[in-house]
Amino acid sequence: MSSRDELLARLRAQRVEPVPLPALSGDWITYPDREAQFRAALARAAGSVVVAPEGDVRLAVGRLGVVQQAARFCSLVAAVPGNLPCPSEPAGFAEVEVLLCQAEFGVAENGAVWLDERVAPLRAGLFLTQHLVLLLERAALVDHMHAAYARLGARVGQTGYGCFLCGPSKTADIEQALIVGAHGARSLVVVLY
Amino acid sequence: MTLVQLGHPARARRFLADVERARFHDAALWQIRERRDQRAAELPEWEALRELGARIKAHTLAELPEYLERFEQNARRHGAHVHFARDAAEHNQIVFELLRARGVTRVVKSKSMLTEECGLNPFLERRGLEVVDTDLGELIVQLRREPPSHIVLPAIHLRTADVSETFSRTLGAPPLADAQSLTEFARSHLRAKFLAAQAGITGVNFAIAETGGIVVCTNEGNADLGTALPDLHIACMGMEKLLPRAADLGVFLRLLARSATGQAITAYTAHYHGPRPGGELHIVIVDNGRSALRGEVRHRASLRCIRCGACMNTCPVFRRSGGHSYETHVPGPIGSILAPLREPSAHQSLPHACTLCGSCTAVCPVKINLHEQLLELRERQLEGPALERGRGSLERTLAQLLGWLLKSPSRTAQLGAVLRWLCRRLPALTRYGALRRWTATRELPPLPAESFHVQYARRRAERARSPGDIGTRRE
Repeated sequence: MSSRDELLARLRAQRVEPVPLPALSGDWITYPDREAQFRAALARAAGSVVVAPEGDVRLAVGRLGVVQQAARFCSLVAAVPGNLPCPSEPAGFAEVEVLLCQAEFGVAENGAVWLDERVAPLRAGLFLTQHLVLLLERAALVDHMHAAYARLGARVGQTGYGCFLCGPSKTADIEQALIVGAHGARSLVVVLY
Repeated sequence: MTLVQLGHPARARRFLADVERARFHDAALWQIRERRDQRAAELPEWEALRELGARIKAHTLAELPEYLERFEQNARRHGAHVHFARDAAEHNQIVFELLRARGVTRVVKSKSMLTEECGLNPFLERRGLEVVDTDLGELIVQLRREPPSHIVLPAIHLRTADVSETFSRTLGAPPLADAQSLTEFARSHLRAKFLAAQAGITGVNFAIAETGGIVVCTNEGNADLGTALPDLHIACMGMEKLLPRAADLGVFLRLLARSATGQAITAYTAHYHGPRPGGELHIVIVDNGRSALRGEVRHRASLRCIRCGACMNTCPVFRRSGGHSYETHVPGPIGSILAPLREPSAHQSLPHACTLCGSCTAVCPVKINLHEQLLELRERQLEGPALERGRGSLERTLAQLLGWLLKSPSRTAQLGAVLRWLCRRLPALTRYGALRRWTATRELPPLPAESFHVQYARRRAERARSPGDIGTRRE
């Protein structure tokens, strides 16, 4: 018998009292000002938020210090072109300083945004690039993670890679000192419009 | 008494010999516990989330064979390969065969307690592969050839100077004095490893039966980076990692990082469904004693564990003895349950590394009754042959004697009088000899001269003499 069949047979032979699967409804927190909560939560995760003046994302992105200083700024958003085309190979993103990407929605509770392969076909870009700039529609903020999964629905299983990204890469593995920029992005800015 | 029986206290004493380091360890973990409290308090529904987390896990464990099959089918539908391993040896062999068949010699690995449990790194290294742990804390302990001392904070037992020395000695780093420059050095060292790796191995935080996907949470992004470049991704998981529905993640992701580090969510929460285009994804599901644990009615709940480490951060014993004093891949309260159940003779002292304060149970995000299970394991030691015969029978005799004394009120009163007399003289009596071990680190509170019964009777008699004085205390 294979290890698989042996394991399943052993588990089935055990008598375990059934426990009903609970419904996921609950009296969850809601935020009167989702944008303020999102901003505070992301700041705690060492990320930051800027608001595009009159919804002009091109202007807002162009004003960012990281973008102005970047010799290699790539964009995955058609409306806001970078100064160089995106690499065609995953490893090519190691040379990119700033990557601009569209986030699908944000979560007020924790400051995370959802990204998947539809907006970042080469996922390596999200981790190899030195700095990330993410666009997020103001209306695309949900209160909490329950609402986030309700919004994703079956799509969560229809993309090879999807990620809740909350701020830049960080570590506190040396004496609990928070250091931003462990392996992935050194900074993360969300541009709300 | 042998050192085996006194394993944990003996090792804890070594840890405590470095007073300054021990104080740092205690304070650092308590700070994380306080951050956890702050994050939990921000959610009015926190207790409801813990209850839901416990019930979803209990349900999944009850229906585990069905969910395992459903997960396997759905993962295959996305093009992932699913393997089952009955124990650590089979797990290691499966991973090795996958790597060997593809000619892989350079592997990057993100944090996985399961691969620690299975001893995967040494197994692969003995066969000539380079395995690089990419979590910063894991890298530090790997370079020092030490096991992690905490499941979330692998290098919490070390100071900055230790890390600096480690990087200089093993990687030829210049002397670096602060966490920022040490992290920067590790970043560039590991970038080269990521770019050169031919395979990425990750753990799994959650596996979703309904969709066939796996979820991996990190703060550094090392799992994401390690799987975005090489063509081969091997994900290793204990079979208890399953959840029925994707929506269950809403509950568990709210619980996990808040409990672990006091963050609202980790920086990266990656959802994988199938391999990268052109790549391969292999998921290895491991039993290694978990099915036996599922059969233990009183300890089944410990399979709910989501490895957040909150029980360690809050534990007064863990904070003051360090993870290495447990000599298990998962230390602390949860480890003191899992290890003795798997291998009773090797971990006899662990259920005693506990004050029964219950703080672990109070913070556990999936409501495992940790301290009750530890007490049960102590009871089991007195029943079973695990404890050395001499000590076991001595303890049993003492317990029987105590039972006989406490059964009768008059004998109890006499025992009290003897103990009050004895305790005042005890410190002097135990300054030398075998009892010294017991009193070396303990102090008795001052004992009253008379028992409660005697005081009560005396006061009643006094009141009867002066009835106008009721309610005031006379000394």
